[in-house]
Amino acid sequence: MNAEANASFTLPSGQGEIVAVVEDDPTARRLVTTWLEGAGFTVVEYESAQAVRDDADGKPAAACIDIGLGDGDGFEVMRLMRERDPDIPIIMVTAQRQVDTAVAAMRAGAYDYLTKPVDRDRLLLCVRRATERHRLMESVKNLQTALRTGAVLDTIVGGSPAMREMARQVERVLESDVAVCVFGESGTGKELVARALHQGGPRRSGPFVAINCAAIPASLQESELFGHERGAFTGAVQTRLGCFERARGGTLLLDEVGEMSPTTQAVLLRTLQERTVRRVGGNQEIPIDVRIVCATHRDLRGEVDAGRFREDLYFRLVVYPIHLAPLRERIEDLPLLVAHFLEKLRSRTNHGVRRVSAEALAVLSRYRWPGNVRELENVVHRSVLACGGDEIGIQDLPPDMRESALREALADVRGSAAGDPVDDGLGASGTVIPLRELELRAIRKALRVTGGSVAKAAKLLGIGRATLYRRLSELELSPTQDLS
Amino acid sequence: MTEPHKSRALSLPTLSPVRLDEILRDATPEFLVELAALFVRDVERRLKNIETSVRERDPRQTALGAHTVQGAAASLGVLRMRSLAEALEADAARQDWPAVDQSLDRLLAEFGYVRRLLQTSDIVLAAPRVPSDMVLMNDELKAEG
Repeated sequence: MNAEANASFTLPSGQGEIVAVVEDDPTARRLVTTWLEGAGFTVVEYESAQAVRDDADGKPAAACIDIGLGDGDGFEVMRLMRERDPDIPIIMVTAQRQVDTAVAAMRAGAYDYLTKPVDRDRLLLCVRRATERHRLMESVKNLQTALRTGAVLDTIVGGSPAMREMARQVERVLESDVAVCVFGESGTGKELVARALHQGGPRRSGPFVAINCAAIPASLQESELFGHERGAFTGAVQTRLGCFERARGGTLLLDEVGEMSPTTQAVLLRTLQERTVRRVGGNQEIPIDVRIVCATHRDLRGEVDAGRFREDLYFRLVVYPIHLAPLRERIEDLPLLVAHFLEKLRSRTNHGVRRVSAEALAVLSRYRWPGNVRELENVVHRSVLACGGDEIGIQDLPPDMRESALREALADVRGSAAGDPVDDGLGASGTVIPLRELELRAIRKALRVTGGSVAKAAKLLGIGRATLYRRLSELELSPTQDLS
Repeated sequence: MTEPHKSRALSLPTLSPVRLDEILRDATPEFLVELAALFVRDVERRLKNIETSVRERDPRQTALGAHTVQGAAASLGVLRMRSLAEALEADAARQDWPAVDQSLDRLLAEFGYVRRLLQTSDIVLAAPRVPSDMVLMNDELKAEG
C-alpha cells in the first residue's frame, strides 16, 4: 500500500460529535462505524428507516445515509432528519452506478455523497467537514440566542427586589461549572433560569438538554439519562445515547429532580462522583463533560429528611441554590410581564392589541396566580383572542378570573365595611349567588363605605372610574341612591 | 446473456488486497476476523433469500437481493463475489432465468470458497499488509469459466 502517502496525510480527529450511520448492510455499517469511532466520533447506528423513525431524541451533528435501505429509501430518512434538525448535514451513500441518484440527493439538500464501497479517508474528511459545518451553524444559532439572552432575562427579571437578587445570583455562577439547583413553584421560570445559565456561560456553544424526571416512568429514567446498549433489555433494538452523552460540552437540566427514583438517584450519584457514564447493558465508562443544573418545585431538604431523596446526592446537586419567587410575591412585575407576553404574541400572531386597561391590570394584580408566570402567559393569550379592539378590558379576561376578582373585591369590601364574615359566594342555604348579584352587592358595599364617592369606590373595587359609571348605568344604580 | 460481467469476474482476485489494507490501516487483525464473520453470516442469509426468490421466479426480489450481496462484498473487498452478484442482478433484471440459475450457482460456489477462506483465521490474520503473492485466487472457478 501507499504507506508514504498515508504517513504524510493526517486526518483531523472528531471531538466526540455524534454521527448517525443509517445502513442496512451490517458489514458496511460496522466498517463505517469503526472508522468513525477510531477518528473520535460517537456513532449512533440505525439498521433501517424504521429505526430512525423510532428514535426521535437523537441529535446527531451529521448523518451518513445509505440511499437504498431495505424498508424505505434514504431520501425519506433524509427528509425526516432534516425535519428534526434543518441544519444537519446529510451525506448520502450510494452505489457507484447510481451517481444520478446521488445528484438528485444533492439537489434535495444533501451536504455531500459517497460511493460504495466507502473509502475510509474520503469518509473521514467528508464527515469532519460536515460536523465542522454543523458546529458553525450551531455557534451562529447560539450567538443569536445569546443576543436574545437579554430578552430572556427580561422575562425572568422584573424590577422587584426578589428578581433583582435572583439575577445577581445567576450572574455570580455564570462562568463556573458549580452545581446549581433552582427552586420554585411550577410556572415560575426554572427552565428559563437554567437556559440563562447555559447561554450566559462558557458552554453556550454546546447543546442544552432538558429532561423532566417527573414525566418519565422510574423504569425508563436510567435509560433516558445514561443511554443503553442494543439488546440491554426487551425493546432495546439499537444503541441509544442518554442525556449525559447528548449534552456533551453543554448543559444538562434535570428538571423535577425530586421525582427521581431511588435506583436512578444511586446511579446519578455514581456518575457525578466518577464523572463517567455507563450505558445500561454496557461495560464501557464514557467520560462526561456537562454542566449540571437541576430544578424542583419540592423542598428537597424536606425530601431528604423524609428519606425520599439521598442526602449524598443532595449535597452534590445543591451546591448553589437559587430560589424563584412566586408571581404573587412579586406582583409589581406583572405589568412588565404582560407587556412582554403581548409583544411575544404579536410577533407570532400579528394581533392588534396594544395595551391592557388599568381595570383589567388591577384584576390581574389581585389574582393569586397559582400557576405563576406560565398561567399569566396563558391568560394574556386567551385575552388577546377574546379582545376585539386594541385594549384588553375586564370583559376580555377569562370568566373565572373576573369572578375571582369580584369575589375578592367583595370580600375586601365586606371586611373593610363592617367586619362582616367573608362571603364565599354562597347563600345561607348553600346555594350559589349569581355573578350579577355578587357584582351588585360589591358595588353597593363599595359605594356605601365610601359615602357614594365613585372614584373611591372604583379604587376599592379595583376597576376604573369610567368602568364603574358604565356598570352603574347597566345595573340601573345611582351612586347616592339604592345603597341599602 | 451478458458475458462481460462473468468473464470479468473470473479474471478478478477473490479478495482485494487494497481494501484489506485499508480496513486494517488503523484496526486490529481481530477486527478483520470479526468483520469477516459478520459478512459470512449476513451473506448466508441473503443468499438463502435469493434462492427462494429464484425458485419463485421473482425478478425484483432476486435483483434486489443480488444488489445487496454486491454491496456487502464491495465493503469487504470480496471482488469476485461482487462481480458475480452484479451479473446475477443483470440477469434477473432481464428475467433471463436460465442465466439467473447459472449465475446463482456460480455465486453460491464462490461464496462457499470465500467462506472457507475467511473462516481460516490464519489467512485473515496474515493480511495486515497483504503482499501481492497472497492475492487469493479461486482457481477452481477460474477453470470452470
